[in-house]
Amino acid sequence: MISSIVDIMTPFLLAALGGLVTELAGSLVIALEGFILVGAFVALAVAGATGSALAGIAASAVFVTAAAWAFGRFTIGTKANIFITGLAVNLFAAGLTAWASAVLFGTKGVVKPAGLEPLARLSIPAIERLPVIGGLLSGHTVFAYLSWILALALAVFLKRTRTGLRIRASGMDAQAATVRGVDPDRYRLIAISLSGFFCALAGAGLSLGAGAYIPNISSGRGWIALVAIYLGGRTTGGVVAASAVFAVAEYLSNIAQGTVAIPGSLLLAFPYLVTFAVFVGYAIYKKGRGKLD
Amino acid sequence: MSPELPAAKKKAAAESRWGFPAGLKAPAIAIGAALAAAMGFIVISSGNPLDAIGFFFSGPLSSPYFFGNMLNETGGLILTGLGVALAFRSGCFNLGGEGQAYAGGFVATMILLAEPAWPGWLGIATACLAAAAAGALVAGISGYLRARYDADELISSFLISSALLPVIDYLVSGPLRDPGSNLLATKAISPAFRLPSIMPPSHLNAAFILAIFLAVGMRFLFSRTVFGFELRITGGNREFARAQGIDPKRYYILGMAGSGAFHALAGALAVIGTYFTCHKGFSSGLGWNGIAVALIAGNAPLAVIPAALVFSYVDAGASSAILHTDFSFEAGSLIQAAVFLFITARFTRARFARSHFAHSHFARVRFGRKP
Amino acid sequence: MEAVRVAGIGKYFSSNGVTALKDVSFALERGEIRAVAGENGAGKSTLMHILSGLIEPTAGEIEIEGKPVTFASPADALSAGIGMVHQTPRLILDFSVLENCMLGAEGRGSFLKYRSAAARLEALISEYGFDLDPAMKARDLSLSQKQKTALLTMLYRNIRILLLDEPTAALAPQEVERLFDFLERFAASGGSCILITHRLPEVMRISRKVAVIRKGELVADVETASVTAEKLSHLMVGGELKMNLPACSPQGDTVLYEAASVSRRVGGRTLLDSVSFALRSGEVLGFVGMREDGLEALEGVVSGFDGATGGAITLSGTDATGADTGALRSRGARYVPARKLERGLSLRATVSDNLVTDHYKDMSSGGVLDLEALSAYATRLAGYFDLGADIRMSAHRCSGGMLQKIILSRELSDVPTLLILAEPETGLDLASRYRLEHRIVELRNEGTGIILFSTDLDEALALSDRIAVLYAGRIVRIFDCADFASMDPEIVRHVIGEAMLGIDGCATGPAGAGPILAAPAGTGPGSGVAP
Repeated sequence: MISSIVDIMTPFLLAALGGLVTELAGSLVIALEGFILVGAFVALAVAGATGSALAGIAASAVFVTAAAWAFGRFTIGTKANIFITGLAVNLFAAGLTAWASAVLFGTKGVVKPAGLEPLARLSIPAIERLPVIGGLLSGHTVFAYLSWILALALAVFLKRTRTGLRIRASGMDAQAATVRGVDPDRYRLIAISLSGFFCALAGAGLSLGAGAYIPNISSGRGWIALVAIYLGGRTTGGVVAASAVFAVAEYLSNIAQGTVAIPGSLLLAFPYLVTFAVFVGYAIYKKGRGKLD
Repeated sequence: MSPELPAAKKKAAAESRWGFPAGLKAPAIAIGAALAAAMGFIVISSGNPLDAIGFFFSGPLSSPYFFGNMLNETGGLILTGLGVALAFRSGCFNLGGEGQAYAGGFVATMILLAEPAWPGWLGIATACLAAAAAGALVAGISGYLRARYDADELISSFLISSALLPVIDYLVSGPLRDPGSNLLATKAISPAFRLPSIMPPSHLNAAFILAIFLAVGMRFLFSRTVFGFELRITGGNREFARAQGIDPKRYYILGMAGSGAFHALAGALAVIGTYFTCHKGFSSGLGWNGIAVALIAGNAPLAVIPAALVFSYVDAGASSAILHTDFSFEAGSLIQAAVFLFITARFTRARFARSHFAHSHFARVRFGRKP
Repeated sequence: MEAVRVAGIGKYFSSNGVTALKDVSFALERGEIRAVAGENGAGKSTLMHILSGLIEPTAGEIEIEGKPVTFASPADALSAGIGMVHQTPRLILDFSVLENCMLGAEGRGSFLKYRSAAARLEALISEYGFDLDPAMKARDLSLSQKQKTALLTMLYRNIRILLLDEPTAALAPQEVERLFDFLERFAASGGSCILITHRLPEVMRISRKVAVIRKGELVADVETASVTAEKLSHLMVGGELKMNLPACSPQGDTVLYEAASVSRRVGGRTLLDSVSFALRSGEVLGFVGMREDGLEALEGVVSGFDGATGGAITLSGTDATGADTGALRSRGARYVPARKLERGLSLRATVSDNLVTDHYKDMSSGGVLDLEALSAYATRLAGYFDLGADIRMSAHRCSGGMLQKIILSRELSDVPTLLILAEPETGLDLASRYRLEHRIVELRNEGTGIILFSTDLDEALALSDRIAVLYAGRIVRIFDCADFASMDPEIVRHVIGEAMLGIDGCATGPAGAGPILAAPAGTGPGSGVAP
């Protein structure tokens, strides 16, 4: 059970961490969904062609980070509205991956390159058998471990490094940063590029984990990750917790699918409904807390 | 007014009137980019690019069928474009247009299927009103949550819409599916409820004319009524509206609800005038395209009409050219993306100046969602 | 040795066609404190923004220590040794004092070295005798502490040339003195300083030379000792403006507005602590103090934006506790907010729309607006303060002064029952200020009760009949301005300043200070508000 939840959580967490950096820099990117989709496709296509999952991951990371950089450069350089340009990325990513899939693989459906196995799961012999901890620490693909390491690294990066300090300052008060000689645009661009990197990993984890590319494989995770940022109170730890909440919810819906006779197509609505419920609940809670004595 | 205005101020004056936006630069660049992107893909994907590009431009005009269908699509886009503009003007961003349009079409179909014996006009009017009410309810929830709990309506409307889509998909392809058809669709509505074509054999129908009337009506609403004035002031600055004794919550809810009603009406009219049934995903793209159209139009109601026309021309052209390429692609998403990417971009050389500070404040007022 | 030399600096804003500066040249010696005086909107701030790299000039040259420089951003200016402290200190509120100082001057390496940075900051703090803890969040600092932090951020990066934009605007007189002591020490150690101010006594007190800017041009650059305050004032304004205000009518005796033990607590913090006062019709009651000492909170409660958590409010004899903005407005209240961009107008609407938000309903029938009547009305209002702009223009193209005029034109057009004025003179030129003061007297004579909120003591003294001092969320003193008539203005400032700093707990003020309404409970002698 824990093991499955960790699997579900990984892409949420990676995407949400990427989004978190941009939110802290004051330029929230809503293009996470599109970045994940492209990341998943590139990773699978390159892994399929080279036979190396590592090559796929690297290619995906490089490509999506570069794309995010270009997106950020354009949006900041033209003072465009980042919500609207982010929508552009999401809409374009869906069309682009379908087109590329048709060109490269001759199908717009599921792509499963021959000879490409789902990514191996690492089991840690000593821990494997322990209750809870076994499921938590053992039996995942490399992406789960990567997501934890990156969450930790991100927390340190934001708190302890010069770039992290400047990213946070850019988001809190761009004018105050400017008069200190810190160019907020520069640090926002770094943050946006980082979000591309994180989403590339989220996408690669999805497609390589399954050993196949399924159209719309991101299925709203980028959007739910946005809610996780908000729900996590814009902190790294909070984002980890919020991702876990969504992972549990999705796990329960998978269980429900197996036990109750709910049609699969209807279940597609479930993650959105849960996210909506959590989103509203949190807003009400926050409003209540800010009340007068 | 003073006879001699500096050029800059004159321009500002023109820009700020609530009719047509004086600045045509941004829409022109956005549409140009959409054209270039679509043609780029056609050239890459086609063995015979010149022919394909020829089809691109001539396709929508090549026959009454294609032309009428393009205008018919324009009518739907005017409605959703108006819906998005209404929300924008009240200070909200309705990102749930897809689900609202689908729900509108679904509700209309259900009513017309339930009462097949009603006279045509009664059925159509009831179906449209019920659909609009349903859309208003769905979007109004997001408006309410924003007004009451300060919960971002952009996120909540998107989530509700995304949850609605698979539910309706399930209903029309499952329990409510017409067993006699091999389409994933409900039964067809009675011929009495179908709007006749005004340009046979195309689907162009009276919905197009209604859409234009509604655009004129919304222009009147914005510029000439107390309601429109208060809505605009609220959308411009919520705190200021409050200081002036205008209740901003009211306009958040009404702006979103009205926006949902327009989207749902677009969906309902697509069923009544074009498809005559609710088939799976029939309204796909109506919501996103509406956002693109509203942005091109600068949220000015009358400008929505030409914006929708140009958008559907590009869309129809690309679709007809794709038929002649080796690899088909989603022309719609490409065009939307190009429009979204370029429509708010500012291509000016003026760097920094005073605007650096003003700009950030402005951005916060407009889309600021600082906790 | 010259620290700074500027030659022929000009600035033209193409966005709104305004020439903000024309051919300004002057030089600043090392170790010198130079005052730059001028009216609001004269171009002082533009000049400082150019020197600090926020704005690029359209003409002219800058030399630092003899070397020509061009600044494309504040980063360039900072690395050349020029730093600016803005009127409202620009700090990252969620950062500590230390982080604010480190930002942009983190030192070598990718990782932050909190410990060595803290040691360096501590050394600076004790060198200059500031009362600051490096670990404190900027949000929790008082205004003067924020200003010291802003100064520290500059000292921390070894800035040798300090630009200060109206640093004294919201300080109590005693704090001004401390700031000046600091500046003199800074100058003595070889630093140079340019101080923007419109307060002439301060110019005379601190500067060796003074430059006067009027309408974007440098009209004088002289030894301070060689001019009088009157001469400077004449140079700033450019002509004699006669201030003959209409005579005041005696105040009425009817109590128009009464607050009884009004409190406001939010999230465990007490913003207002049983504030009681009464306002008679035809009276101006001025509240002074720091924004965070209750001025902002009281403005929120009185204007109906924020609710009181305790106490009662009466307006014209009937209860108005909990009445929101709309209810107060319909009962004849008008409001000029301190935060004008947030509450005063909509930058996205036209000037005309902004002018008519108070009256559009009167010019409509059946929900349909009479556009011609609205336009005529807006044109009439625009003439009131000589707005000098096309009213169809979008408000975001207006300057700060114009925006304030729009708000004033709208809110002061009728004769309100109650007028709430917060920082009404911000950004106004002298002629408009005069117009405003004239109008305030007119309204007072018509029986309007006016509540004024001001961080600017001079403004409050000029406009008020009585002055209430807020400190730590309480009214610590209420002065009757009639008693000040025969007193030396400097002594008046000193007395009120002590109250603003909370060091004056005792009730004995100038003779008869308070024939007034009973002082609120708990604000008596030694009520423990002093830190």
